[in-house]
Amino acid sequence: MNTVKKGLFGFLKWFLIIFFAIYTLFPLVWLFVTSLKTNAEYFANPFSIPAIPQFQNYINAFSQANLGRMIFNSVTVAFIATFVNIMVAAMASYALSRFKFKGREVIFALFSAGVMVPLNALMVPYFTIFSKVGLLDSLNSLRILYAAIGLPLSIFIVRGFMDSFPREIEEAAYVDGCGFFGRFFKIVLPLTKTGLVTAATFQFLTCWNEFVYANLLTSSPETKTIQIGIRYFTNQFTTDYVSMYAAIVIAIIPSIVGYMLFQEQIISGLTSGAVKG
Amino acid sequence: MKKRILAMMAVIALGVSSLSGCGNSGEKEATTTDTKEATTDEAASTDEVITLNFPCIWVGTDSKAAVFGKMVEGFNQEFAGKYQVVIEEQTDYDFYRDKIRTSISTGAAPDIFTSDSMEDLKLYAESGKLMDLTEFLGGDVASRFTGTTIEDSKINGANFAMPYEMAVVPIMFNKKLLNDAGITAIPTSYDELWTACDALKAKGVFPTTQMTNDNAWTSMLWYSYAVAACGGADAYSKGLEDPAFLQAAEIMQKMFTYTSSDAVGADASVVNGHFFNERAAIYVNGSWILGRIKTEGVEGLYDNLELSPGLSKDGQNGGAYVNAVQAYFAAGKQDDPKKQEAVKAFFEYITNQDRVLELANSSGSLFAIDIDATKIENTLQATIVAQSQAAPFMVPYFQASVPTAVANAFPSALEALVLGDITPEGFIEQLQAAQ
Repeated sequence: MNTVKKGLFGFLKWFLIIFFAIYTLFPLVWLFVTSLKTNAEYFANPFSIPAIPQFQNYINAFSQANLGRMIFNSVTVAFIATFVNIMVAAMASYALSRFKFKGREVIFALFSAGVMVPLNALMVPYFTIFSKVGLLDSLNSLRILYAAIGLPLSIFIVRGFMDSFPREIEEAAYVDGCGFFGRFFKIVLPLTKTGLVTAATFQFLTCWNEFVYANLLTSSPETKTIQIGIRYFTNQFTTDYVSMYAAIVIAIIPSIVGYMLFQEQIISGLTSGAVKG
Repeated sequence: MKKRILAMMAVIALGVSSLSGCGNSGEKEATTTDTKEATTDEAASTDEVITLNFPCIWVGTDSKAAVFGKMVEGFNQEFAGKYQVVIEEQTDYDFYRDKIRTSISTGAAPDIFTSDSMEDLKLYAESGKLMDLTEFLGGDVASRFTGTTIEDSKINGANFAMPYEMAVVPIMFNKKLLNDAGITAIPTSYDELWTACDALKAKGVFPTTQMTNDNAWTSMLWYSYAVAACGGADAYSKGLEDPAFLQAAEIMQKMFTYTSSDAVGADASVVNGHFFNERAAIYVNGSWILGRIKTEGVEGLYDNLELSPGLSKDGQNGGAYVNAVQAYFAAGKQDDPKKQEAVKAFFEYITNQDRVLELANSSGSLFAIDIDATKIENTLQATIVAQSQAAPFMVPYFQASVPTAVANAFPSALEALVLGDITPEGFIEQLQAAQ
């Protein structure tokens, strides 16, 4: 009986693993295969295998849409915005978690409420602000904006980690003569690294995938980001689907590489964050 | 090890981005300077060059991109040292609309832009954000335009937008599929269409192509033809209360029983996929799609196409053509008279008949500029011109004739209608509620 149970459990386990692996990988594989087809093949049967792999689609993606420059812009925007966002979120979360002052919870609630504000509703005010300060058509406008719009979620996540971080460790550091900044940078930040990586992951993905403001606030080819590059192959009535899919494949590579490099921290951050938030 | 990698990446990103931040304007400056060097050898000073920024959708893979880009280059060369048009590439049309609306509402209207919505242009004009083109369009250039397009595009008696590209929309039939189904004559009425649809359906072919995703473009065009058949030339002037809109909704409900099972939720790629691969026999779209049918359709499809104007309903209103301005050129209000002159010079340049003919031949599009129809190289395109000229009346398409909110409500209302969630009356109520 035990053997049967074990066998059934093993079958179910592997069935679920394979099912979810296919469920997750299929869109990626389809995307890659489709990016090697011609538009005619794509229209004829979206699930067919290309007769002759069209690597030209990738050349088109790079040469026509200038994807290289756009990837570079996206990388710099995403890294800077994530760095600024996490630093500000960590400081705000530390204050909200450690210091007792009037209105603390109201401030936290206001920060958290920001998650619920649809960003498209803020296009006019943001455009006006960046226009007034002369930052239109500059990557700095995106860096500042992304760092700011990600704060509600980052503070929500990081504060959860800081709340569960034992005060005794800080107190011990204080007794040993560690000052305020020393405690924050040498004790609190390293020990809440998991939460910071979790928040940074979400923030990076937001920055990498954001399109509306990237399109609104930039105009010259020198300031375009990768999401605009992907849409280079669409227009009013027609779309070069296969070249667009090639551009999408190129665009998701940095996310996959980033995930491979930091998967340990990301997974532990996401799993522990799920119960601490 | 990972810590080191993280630290290194952070340092590199910070360094690189600060460099890119500094270098950004420098690069832009360099690009501009290069262009100017190439085009303004005679320019005494760069201060004299009036620069017009132009967020443009005819870029990238758009069928007009190559020749229109050449046209802009030509303008920059002809007016080197005096005027320069700088194109800002915009490929996503929905976000282009958002960007234009946002820019204008915040007082930062682009120098030049295009719009497909007269309703939007009315709003911009009434808020005083657009340059008045009445005098310019009433001058020498007026003779370049077809029919009454300039008069028709007036807002409160003044021209704030210049009609340019036309959406001339034929109904396209795949003769081979119709013949295989025993239909030898192209339907001219809805009764004949239903007969043809039954025959095609029996042969296992999707009779028509329909979609409800995005702006439900091709189905919206079918609806436009149905409105024309039911309400005639004046349907839109009577508003959604006119019975024509209700009768047209009933036609659409029936039309969706003669289409593919994936029509609800389908986007343009699905619709095109069915027609381009001969899975569907009847299709509606603008003349600009002909080039793609030629290159992406199955072998012989292009040669098997037969085009027709709108169908009649109960013996009335047959032969109508959906023909509306697809793109208006407009300009942000300019205080500087020199900039106003620059805008006019550019508009004059791009309405030159020879240049427009080249643009029409290269893209398959048709324009509000009066070009010599005998010089149109593509025979199907020439057929569209001939049929539209012979049409008893023209009607604009639905999306261009109703407020933006109604046009936006159309896809979801249509979806509810064909899924049976609402009746044709409910469909009209949904559209009216969006007004």
